[in-house]
Amino acid sequence: MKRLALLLAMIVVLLARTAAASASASASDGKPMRVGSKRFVESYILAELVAQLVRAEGAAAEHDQGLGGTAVVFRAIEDGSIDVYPEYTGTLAETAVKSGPADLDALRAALLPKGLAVSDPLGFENTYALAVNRNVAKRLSLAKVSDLLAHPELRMALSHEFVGRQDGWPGLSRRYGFRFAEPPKAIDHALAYEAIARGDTDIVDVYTTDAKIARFDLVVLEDDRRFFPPYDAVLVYRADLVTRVPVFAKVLARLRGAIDATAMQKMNARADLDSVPFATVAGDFLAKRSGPEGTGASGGNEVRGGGSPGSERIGLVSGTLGVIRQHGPRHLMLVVVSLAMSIVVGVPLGILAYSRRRTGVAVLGIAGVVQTIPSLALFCFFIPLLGIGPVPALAALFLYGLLPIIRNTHAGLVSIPADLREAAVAIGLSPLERLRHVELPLASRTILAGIKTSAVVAVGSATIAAFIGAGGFGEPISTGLSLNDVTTILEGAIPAAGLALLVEALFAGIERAVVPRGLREAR
Amino acid sequence: MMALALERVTKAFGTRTVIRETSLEIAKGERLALIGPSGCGKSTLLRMILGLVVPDSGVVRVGDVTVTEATARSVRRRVGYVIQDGGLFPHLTAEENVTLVSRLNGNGARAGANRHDGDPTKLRARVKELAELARLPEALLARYPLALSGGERQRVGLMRALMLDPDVLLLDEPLGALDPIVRARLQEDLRDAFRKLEKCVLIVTHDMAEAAYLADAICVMRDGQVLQRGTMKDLVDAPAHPFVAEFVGAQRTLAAALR
Repeated sequence: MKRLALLLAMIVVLLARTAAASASASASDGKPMRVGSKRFVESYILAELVAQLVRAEGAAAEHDQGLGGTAVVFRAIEDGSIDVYPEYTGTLAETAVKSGPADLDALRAALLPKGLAVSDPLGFENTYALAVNRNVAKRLSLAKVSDLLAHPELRMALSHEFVGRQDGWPGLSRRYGFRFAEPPKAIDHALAYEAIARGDTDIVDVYTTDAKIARFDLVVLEDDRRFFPPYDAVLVYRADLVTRVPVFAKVLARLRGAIDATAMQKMNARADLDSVPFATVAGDFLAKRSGPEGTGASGGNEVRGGGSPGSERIGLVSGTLGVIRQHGPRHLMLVVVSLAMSIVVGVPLGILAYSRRRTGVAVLGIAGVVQTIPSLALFCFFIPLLGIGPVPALAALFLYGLLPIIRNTHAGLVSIPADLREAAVAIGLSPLERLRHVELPLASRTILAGIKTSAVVAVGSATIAAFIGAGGFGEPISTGLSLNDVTTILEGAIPAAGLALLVEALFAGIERAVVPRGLREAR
Repeated sequence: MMALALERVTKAFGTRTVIRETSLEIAKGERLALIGPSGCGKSTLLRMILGLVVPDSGVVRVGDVTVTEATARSVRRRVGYVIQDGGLFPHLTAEENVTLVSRLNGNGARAGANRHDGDPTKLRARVKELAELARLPEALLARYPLALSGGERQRVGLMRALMLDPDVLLLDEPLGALDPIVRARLQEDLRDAFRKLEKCVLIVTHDMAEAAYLADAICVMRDGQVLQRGTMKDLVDAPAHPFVAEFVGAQRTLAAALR
């Protein structure tokens, strides 16, 4: 028991330090400006451009990469977790303002009450479009969206967001009066190209600046009934940002109309097809524009997990090592802090469930319900309460870790033989003495097994935390998913799996230290 | 004053009455065996003395203290309790099992009677003394219960019960789980120990010979009531109830048949 107490004390001290360190890091005085991005290549690059321009002007900026879809990122800027992010006017009208098609002035007026402002257009449009395979287009002579009306046998694979948005499939289908034989399949956008290349589908939705349109030799169909609203690229930013970070006004001026569609497509192609890190792509663009004294050419922060500034793909091994160095500490912090909270709350709740049967049923029931919530949903549930980043992730991981610990503490205590429990009473021990000197030691192995389960679950669930901007090994995984890049996914997945194995091994050692010898020999 | 007294105690579990208006008194230094068929209430009576079972009516007294919820814990420290197979805690060594309560309470236990007062040297001396009394080889004190034989565990159980030098010693079928040879040796050692200690002893068993060997008097119980209390000779020569004659007879028939 003493050893267990000592171990717990050590963990708590460790945690307190980590927590204090991360708190002071985020709350320091020269608070850097935070640039957010959505989970796709173009958004990463644009955000990187903004961050590098701000830094070139001498202010601090950090890029919170790939926070999630529009809903997550917009909520992040609403609550001030980020200061600026790249967006499209059509998306703003549909998702954020929910007004339907609207011009820039209308959008600005609608967002001002939320403390948000919209920049002038960056110079290119990235609208939705439908695209088909060139061979199919030739064979069926497809050039316009309305040409599809004659071919209801064609199959579609559309991105999740497009299927759900009023300015996406539902509206498009109404406007053109489509009657396809098969309803559209919803598929991850990055995978849609593979699907059409393999012939698994005939029609996909694309963004017009998407580099893969050329790579996969697709034909973009003309929106002849003018359904898609304009999707001009803009920046959404906190209205007070210009006063907080004065150089941001300069950055806005520099980006006004600065990127045309061709330039954007080229940048997308370098990042998406040639696997050049986003920071390098952005840096090269700025260098070209501003001549030899250019600013961001050095590359700035690496966005890709293990990417090096060079354009060549580096080995999986060194990539993975890079990921461990860059994301390991954060991942470990997420696991250790959430696990410690789960232990500190879970063990007493397990004891309570054991000593009061009715409370016990309720406690175990509630913890069981929490466990059935899908992890991504639980993470997102905390965003309105705690914003984005590691804090809501810790809260969700903490809740996930509770049930195994509560359940095992309860089970371990309940399984103590009745005669031993009574012997402890009969020799005159008080309830607290019984718990501390008899019941908890006898249940220690079961309790420890519960803690181990929670630890392994936390290692796995923490990778999902990257989707709400908490960082960790999930970061390369989600980047890889958005790029359909298996190497990058593996660079995150391998260390996560390795950490899970390490946790297993570690607990074998802890069991030796904590479980009393008399019980281990009993095995 | 009696060392132990139960006055008209009754206990029912649900609709089943286990103890019916039973009274029992044991004097200081007296050794009494409770005997009867399974389910006759003899173990329940023992557990009442420790406050593990609260009687529906009637009074239980240990010395001058009435056993209530409030006094139960202090009563338990003046009463040693030995159960079948020792009831030892598997996560503690034999010695740690014996000294657990003393270590937890340092000087808090009864002064005077408690000669060690939490001092490690005195504690150690007391353990040695008890090991000698219970005839447990000292080398076994460092072992965990699972590395001890059944008889050895029972000796440790006896040591734990005697550690605080209680006024009353209760034993609930202490030898029930042992093979005949170990049992015979332990019976001898128990009798020697009881004689040296001169404590009030109440032992529950269903073996007539064991009862006669370890105790001065025997109480025959059935259906939650005491049918007769007396020496072995009284029970054989003048059974007060047909069941007593039958019970005593049944246990003697086998021995007679072999003679």
